[in-house]
Amino acid sequence: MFFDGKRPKTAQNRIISRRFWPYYFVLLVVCTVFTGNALTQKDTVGPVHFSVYAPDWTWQKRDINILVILENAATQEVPVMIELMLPEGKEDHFQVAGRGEDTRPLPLEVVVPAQTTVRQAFPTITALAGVPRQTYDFEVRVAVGDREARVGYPMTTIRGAVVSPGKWALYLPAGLALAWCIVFAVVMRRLSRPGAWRVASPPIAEPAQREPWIDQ
Amino acid sequence: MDRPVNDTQSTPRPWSLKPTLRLGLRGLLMVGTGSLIASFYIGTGDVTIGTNMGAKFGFSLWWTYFVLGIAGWALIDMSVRYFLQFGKTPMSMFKDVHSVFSVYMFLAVVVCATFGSYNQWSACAMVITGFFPAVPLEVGGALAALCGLLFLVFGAYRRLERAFVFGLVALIVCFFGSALMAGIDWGEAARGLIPNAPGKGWASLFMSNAGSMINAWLILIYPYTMIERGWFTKRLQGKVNILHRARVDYGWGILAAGVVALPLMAAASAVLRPFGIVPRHYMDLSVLLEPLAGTWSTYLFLAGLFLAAWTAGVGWWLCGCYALLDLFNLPIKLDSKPMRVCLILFFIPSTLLLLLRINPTYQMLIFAAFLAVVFPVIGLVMLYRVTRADMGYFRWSVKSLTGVAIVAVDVFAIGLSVYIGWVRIGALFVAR
Repeated sequence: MFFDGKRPKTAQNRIISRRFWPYYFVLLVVCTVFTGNALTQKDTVGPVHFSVYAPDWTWQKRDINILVILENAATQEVPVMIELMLPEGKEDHFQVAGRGEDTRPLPLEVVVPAQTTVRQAFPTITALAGVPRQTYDFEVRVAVGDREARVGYPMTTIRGAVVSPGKWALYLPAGLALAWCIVFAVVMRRLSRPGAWRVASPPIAEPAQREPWIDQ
Repeated sequence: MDRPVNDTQSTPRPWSLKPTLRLGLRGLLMVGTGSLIASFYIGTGDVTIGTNMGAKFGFSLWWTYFVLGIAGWALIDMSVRYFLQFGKTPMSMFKDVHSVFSVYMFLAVVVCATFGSYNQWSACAMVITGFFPAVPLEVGGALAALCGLLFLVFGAYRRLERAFVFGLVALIVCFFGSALMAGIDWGEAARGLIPNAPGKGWASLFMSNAGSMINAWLILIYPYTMIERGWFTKRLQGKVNILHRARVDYGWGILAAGVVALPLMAAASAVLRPFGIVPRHYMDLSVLLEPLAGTWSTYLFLAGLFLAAWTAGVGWWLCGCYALLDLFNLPIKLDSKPMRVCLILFFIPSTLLLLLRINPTYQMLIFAAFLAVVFPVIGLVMLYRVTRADMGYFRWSVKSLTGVAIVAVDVFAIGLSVYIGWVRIGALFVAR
């Protein structure tokens, strides 16, 4: 059976009424007060100030990237050694792109020119599935000569995707949506006239009141 | 057989009439439906593809948005010409050819709208989780979807357009603000407008972008918005005026996708490219933006991402519902009971799918490829329909420069989508 529901006009447009817009704006601004999911730590080794930017949680089976910013305040270049220490005894819970089974600390040697900022990243570190979800202790070590500073931070894993990236990431949701077509078919047929899906719609009626520019 | 709806006894030569309306500044600013169209193009697909392009090739693939945009524009134009000629809704094209296409369109609409909207709610959830880490992804996504549902159920069409104009402007401001803080190399960006093949991997990104820009049945939505606006007349001159105004409108909508791609590429190029990081998660970019461009850059990026995803999620539902109402010959009306029933039916699966927790960045790339596979059938039916002689004044004709241009862009659009569909079918289902 076909029906075309009507509602009283007073119920219309409440949510997107202009008088609510200031509240939405305030809500948007309030959101920015909360901290994001990045973790930032700053420290100094000799003439080098450094900051570590890293996510403090991730899904299992997903990559994380850790960024280190080095600022050399000295008037001459400084060689800096950066090392990412994977959680001790749990190195095999992670996979680092391009390193295969090798889970030793990831060293990077960088020469930071005088009065310059250099960015370095430890990209594509994947938290593997098949291990209990937990909070890991990561550590970044920054050394200049015999002086060093260590920045430790927790990184928590949460449940990752049900299916691994690959064709199933397409097939599973598409298959479920395809199954849902049955529900749509049943409901839409009840709403419409029998056989309506096979028949082209009749031409629409010309609106009685048209915008003036149309017939200009 | 369709019968044209004209009050003129003799139809003038195709494409010989000039529009008599002057768009003016007010007309150009009132690009409501264009902004609605833009919202479909600027979602997680645009963000994913734009940032991937930026991270791998800088601005080199910016040109793809405009080349594919021409094809998208031509395809929307075909559906609008059919609507203006016959006064019939887009699905009638498919029903006229064979009822098997009704089934094809039904399946395509439900699967794509469910899948497409679910991806957007998933991206919204990631932004919410970014601000409030304690909120589970499923809850964040369901809240975003619920807001979208209430917005559509309690909204009227005119208000919806205004909200989308506001949303589009806000997200452009957010993305550009974020990218300007990170720095845009304008010279390199300009060079990116020249078609080029920057290296290995560009073709698959081009194909995914095609799936996003030549967007399956989404190209059929414009006539529905015309029905909601009352943009229809039986007078031929009125039709010419409507077509002229509409072309500017959806031209802007498609152009907006290219405009928004620029700051996305800029941010990814500045932040990810130096380290060879290919974004597989939106948070990668937002987190890495902070040290380069400041905290506000991250906030702006996240706000822009949320707006893009949320408006696109609403857009997918809206399109899906209009298309289903059309398929079952129900009134094309946002404020109607069948529309509300459809919206609720889309809400249920697209939020339940959030439990799968599949990374939307990755999923969007393969979904866009899937869309490219779905489209060629639709494109070929449309081509068959608009090339028939009963298209009257709006038929193919090579007797004028305008007519030649229309034939050229139609052929280009269909040829491109068929080629891409063919390649993607091979990649998804045959070769491995």
